[in-house]
Amino acid sequence: MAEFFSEAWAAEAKDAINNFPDDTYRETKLFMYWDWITAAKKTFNGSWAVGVRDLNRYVTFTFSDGVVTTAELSDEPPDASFVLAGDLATWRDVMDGYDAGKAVMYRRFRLDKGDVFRFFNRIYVFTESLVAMSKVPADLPA
Amino acid sequence: MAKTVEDFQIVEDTDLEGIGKVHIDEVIEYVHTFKKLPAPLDLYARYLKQRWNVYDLDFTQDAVDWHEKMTEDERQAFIDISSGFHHGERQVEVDLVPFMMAGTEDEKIFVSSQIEDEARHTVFFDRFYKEVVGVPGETIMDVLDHSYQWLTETFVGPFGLLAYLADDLRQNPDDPHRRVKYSTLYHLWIEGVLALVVMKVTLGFGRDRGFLPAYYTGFTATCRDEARHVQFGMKFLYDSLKRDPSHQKDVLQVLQTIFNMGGAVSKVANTEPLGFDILQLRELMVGQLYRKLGIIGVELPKEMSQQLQSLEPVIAGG
Ligand SMILES: [Fe+2]
Ligand SMILES: [Fe+2]
Repeated sequence: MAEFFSEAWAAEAKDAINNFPDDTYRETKLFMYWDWITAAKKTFNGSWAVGVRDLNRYVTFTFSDGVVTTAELSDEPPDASFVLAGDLATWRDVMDGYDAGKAVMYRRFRLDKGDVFRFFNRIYVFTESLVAMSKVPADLPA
Repeated sequence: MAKTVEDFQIVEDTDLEGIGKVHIDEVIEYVHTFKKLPAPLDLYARYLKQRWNVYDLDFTQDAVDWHEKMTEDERQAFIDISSGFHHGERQVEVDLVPFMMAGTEDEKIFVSSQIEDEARHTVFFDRFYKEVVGVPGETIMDVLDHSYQWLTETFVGPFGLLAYLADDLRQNPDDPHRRVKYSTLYHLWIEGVLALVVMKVTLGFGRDRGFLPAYYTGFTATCRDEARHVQFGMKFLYDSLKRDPSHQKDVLQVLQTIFNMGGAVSKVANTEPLGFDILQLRELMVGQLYRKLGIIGVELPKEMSQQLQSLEPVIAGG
């Protein structure tokens, strides 16, 4: 199992976002919802970083034409279009199945950088990508 | 003939018991009936007169109706819709705080009363879920956590946007553009459009069937509270736009994002068992939106009015 927010985990998270969702999960929501996400992803050419505040670890995903092309690890907030960060306790809950959208709505994740409206124009790309990441097995620090 | 302020004297003056006898459509009309938009302190005085005690409601008959008279489909539809309010009220309660950090002192006095209203609305749903639906929980959050399962994922769009705009406002509470954007989402869209329309669904059902009397009473009183909130917001937006017409852009930016998010639908809205279909609701929402835009004097560009015709609104309110 990869260490949480390591190079190996970042690479697996990138693949998970690109291959999301599987058929079983897809069927739990209307096709219109996934169409919306596909369209929103396709027009996003920029970068989205997620971070664990108390570990000072960030992974920046670069999106190009609907696909995540790179996942880069850094130990300070990167210069990305959007930086969404939460503390380790929040990530731990999300990795255990806590609803990613709820973590956003309750501001357990905060948008440390980026325009709020641009972020919400594609909100479900980001919440579903958090769900995708949460399915990547990871070794979390004690 | 258009109704006047005098036609709504009963809605204006009645107590909690009396409001339970008023038709919801009357209360929705009451929101839009004023000689001129009231000043914040007038609305504060009205708050003191209209404030109701959420613990005066007795849900005994509601629990009987719920378990013995309503069908499983009706219960599920009711729960799906109420959960959007249960969480909506909580969100508008906590996210209103940064708006009170700036504005005039008169506005702050009014906003303090609105925070109390929204807290009371949250407690109203907490009691309904615990005492009627039978949801377990010791704390307000226990019950919210339980009812979260009935929300759709697209609830996070408008209400997450509100949470993040509140956070943004907290860092720059005096910025007039941020305040107008926030108020457009909060007062105009969530309260003035979503809430007023969706309230009709469960209240219309309760009234037509003679079910859930305490719910009907408390939620109709909630709707009367919304009249003060919406009128406050319309005055704030109207005055802001008059002072600086460039705020028009702020209003449209918010609506554009709402319309964009409104294209994402993850579940079919479950309103039909209660007698409403989504087309009816969309039409009501479009009507409410144009009414509010008319009051503040903002026109939608053509592309946006077209987009509005295919909007799938979130079934929620606050
Ligand atoms: Fe309200
Ligand atoms: Fe409310």
